[in-house]
Amino acid sequence: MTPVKPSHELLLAQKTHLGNLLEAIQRCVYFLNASDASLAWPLTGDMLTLRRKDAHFFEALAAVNERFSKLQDTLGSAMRHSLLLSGEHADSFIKVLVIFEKLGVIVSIDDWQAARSARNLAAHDYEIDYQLVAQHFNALHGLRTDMWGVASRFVQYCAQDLHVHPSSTDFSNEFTAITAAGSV
Amino acid sequence: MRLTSNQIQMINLAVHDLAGERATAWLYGSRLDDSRCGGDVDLLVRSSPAIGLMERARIKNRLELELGLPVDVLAAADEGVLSPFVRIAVAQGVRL
Repeated sequence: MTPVKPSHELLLAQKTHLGNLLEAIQRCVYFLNASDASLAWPLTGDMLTLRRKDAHFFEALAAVNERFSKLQDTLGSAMRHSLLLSGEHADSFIKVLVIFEKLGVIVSIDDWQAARSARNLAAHDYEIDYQLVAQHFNALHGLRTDMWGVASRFVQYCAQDLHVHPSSTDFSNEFTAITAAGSV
Repeated sequence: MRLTSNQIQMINLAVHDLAGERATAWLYGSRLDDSRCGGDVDLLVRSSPAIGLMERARIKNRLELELGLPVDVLAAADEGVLSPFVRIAVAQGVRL
């Protein structure tokens, strides 16, 4: 049987876990930006048709999809986890979003959920109509700066209100530059 | 069709609000089969031009909230060549 940890030890573990999640968020932003920057936007159906067998090009597109999802999921996990430290209670994810909308981290719950559904729809579509594929990726490209805004405000909130920082500063400078500029 | 008139009204309202007054909503898939239970609400939204990914996402989210059911939204233009999947949805679909 696992012994019950003293509360200060538990608190420390919770802070460390949040720090790890913050580092993961910064990493996601860095790599999403890198994949995004390797492509010429906006995409067009003609462009995709022309490059339909270009494995590197489609790998970059797949990476945008995967990293966008990873960023949003990691942000969601981190927001939920941070409530343990702030003392707020939320028994559903929508309540987590309500709290962070109130704090100004999320601009709009509707936009957050639309972004989530959009990337899920894009991931599950199996279109070979390149115009539609281009449209899907252009939508994700348009949403990335919203995600970066959320990421930046959340990292600031954790630092100021919870005194928790990313576990390492490996990606901090790039994260600050990317989220400040909107794009690097 | 396993949708109530109230649910159909909600769907049409959401589609008109988010895809435009001239957009039309079509039901296809398992909800057309009265002998089955449960299942997603499979919707095809037709408009000119076809709605994009974000509009599909917003319609899906709004209807899932209002209907309390999983909703899948497919989009197609009123004019032009349809993909085989959309042609199947159109062939079996019922306009709401």
